Amino acid sequence: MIWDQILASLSPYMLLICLTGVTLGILWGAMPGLSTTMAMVLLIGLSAGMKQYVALMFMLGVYTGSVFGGAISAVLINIPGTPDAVPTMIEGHPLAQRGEGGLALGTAIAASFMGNWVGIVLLIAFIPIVLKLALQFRSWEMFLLAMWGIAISGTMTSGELPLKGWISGWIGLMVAFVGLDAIHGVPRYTFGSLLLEDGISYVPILIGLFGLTEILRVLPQKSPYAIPTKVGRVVPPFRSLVRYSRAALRSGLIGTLIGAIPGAGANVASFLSYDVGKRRAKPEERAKWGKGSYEAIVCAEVANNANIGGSILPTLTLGIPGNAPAAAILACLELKNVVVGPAIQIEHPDLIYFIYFALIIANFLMYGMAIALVKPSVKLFSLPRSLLMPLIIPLCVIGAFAVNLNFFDVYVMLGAGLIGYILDRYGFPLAPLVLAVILGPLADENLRRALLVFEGKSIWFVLSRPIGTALILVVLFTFYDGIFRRRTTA
Amino acid sequence: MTDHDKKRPVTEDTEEKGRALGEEEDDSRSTPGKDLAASAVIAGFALFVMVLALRMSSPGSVFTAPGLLPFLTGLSLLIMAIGLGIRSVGRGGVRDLFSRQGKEVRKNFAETENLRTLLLIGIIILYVIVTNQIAFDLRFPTGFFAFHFSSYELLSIISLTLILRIFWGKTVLRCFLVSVCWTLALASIFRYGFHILLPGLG
Repeated sequence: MIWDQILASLSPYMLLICLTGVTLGILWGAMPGLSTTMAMVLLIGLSAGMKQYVALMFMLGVYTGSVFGGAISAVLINIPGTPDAVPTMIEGHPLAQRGEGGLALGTAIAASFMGNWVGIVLLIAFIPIVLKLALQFRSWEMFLLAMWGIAISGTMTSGELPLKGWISGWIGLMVAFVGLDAIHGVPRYTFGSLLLEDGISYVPILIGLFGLTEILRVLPQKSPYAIPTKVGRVVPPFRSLVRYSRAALRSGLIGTLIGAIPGAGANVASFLSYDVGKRRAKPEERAKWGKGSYEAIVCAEVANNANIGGSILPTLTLGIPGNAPAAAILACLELKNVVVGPAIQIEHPDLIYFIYFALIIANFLMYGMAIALVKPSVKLFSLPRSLLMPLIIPLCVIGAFAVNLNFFDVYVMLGAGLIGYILDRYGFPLAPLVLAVILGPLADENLRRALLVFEGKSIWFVLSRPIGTALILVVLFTFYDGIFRRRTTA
Repeated sequence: MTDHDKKRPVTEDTEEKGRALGEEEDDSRSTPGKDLAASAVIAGFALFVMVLALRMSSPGSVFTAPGLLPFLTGLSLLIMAIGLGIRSVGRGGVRDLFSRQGKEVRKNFAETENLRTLLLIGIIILYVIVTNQIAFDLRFPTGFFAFHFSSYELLSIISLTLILRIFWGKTVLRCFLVSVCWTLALASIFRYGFHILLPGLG
């Protein structure tokens, strides 16, 4: 079985697909304002026309490539291509100004390569453990897990005011309730519309929130930037990485762990790792932070790339996406009628192995293509955002339409984009909303099933389930932490 | 606020340079007045949702009622909205909303960037609505395949040309050529490459 998947992922066609995905991802990620999530959600529509493994290989390639791609513009033009590249920008650009741009990018490439490896190894190591645990989950535990996912996503994505993240998540839950109820078939919030009875698909919402909202936010801004003329030689300095190996390993663990927490994306990983790295750095190295530190670049880039493997873990084992790009992978799998979750190893045993090998191949290709594409990327920076962003609009329309071949989804995408823009202007994060739309039906059905089981039983019966009780405590702690700890430290 | 949040460089510098912060934005652009306005709208929405949840028919027991979780969600959303409202009032939200906010709203509308955003929203809404209303598919048989040109391509080219002219600022001809090349390439990838139907009759 494993060899079949190795051979499948190593076929020339698959390698070409992966190479295309990685190349597109790097170039996309390098373009300021075009995020990894945007790339992933716009590809969902395209993946509808591909075979399952081809679509997965392509999307994983784009995911791997675009997370690194953000570092190129961050170092060279002082604008992070993706949100997680901000620490790389802070450290890499001063180096580029000193004529060490090539070395800074080389460090970022090597760190990304290493980070991906940490993420993949931990993914492979932890999938069996999480799956074993997930099989113990019943309706009550699944409900609590879904609610914790939404709550922690709200906490992790809303800076100093988690309340806004939770509100965003709760609005997403409301959207998820639209349609016929799964147990009795009673219409909820459909207002007599047949189109709403099937519910609202989360794919057009993803495209609207992360595609159209970004366009509305970025396109009207006028922000010209200077295009660099010299990059220097790009050499990934593996020798110096050995010097930072402890920092790299620690950052890899942070990145993977953050990736596994629902809703917490690569930017949380890179900032946290950057911060921890600064605290743990030797005094002479710490003095360089903020002025151009190679160790800081290693911390940020290892963490945001390790985040990829981490985000795949809950997506495959629990059906809960680790972040927004992982939600796009979930959507891609759902389009192929693959239901992920605790039973994935029984229902689709080959798929997990394929994903391992796809990630490994994408990582090797990312390494090669990153070195090759740094200089061509510089030319891309001369293309203004005012040219690039409008080109995404027709892609948003096709992407939303292609999933169900239904124009109603295009209206959903448009509505989501406009609401996302308003929410964003009022400081509400968008990731919890998407996560809640995905997890809402899971929470709803499982709560009602659990309540039926608990009917007539005492509270002690409910509390006698150790996993459920642990999850209740975790959910309560998440809210407590969000309300009280942040208030005291604000 | 966690340690990494504290270190997050939300300075004027990164606000400008780091606009890509995107996906997981912080609330640095919100003001107490804005928060108060948002909390009022969200509270109204939560009440509306709760009323509708109570009016849903319930074929089984209360434990399997279709409106159970929607009602609970609406209730907790209402509590959160009240919490946000109280916090913003404590930070001068009322004064901010009725004085500074009012001025800011007027200023916002006068700002070029906001006018450009409104214009962009208008064009996109019109593009989507018209794409759903107009449907045709012209076929031009060539030697080995039939080349399609549908309403989607036509409307995309027109809309893109308009948007590029406004935001990119190059000549109409240049914007038109970019729009034609991009739209046809995109439509070809989906239609011929992946056999995916396009909106309209495409």
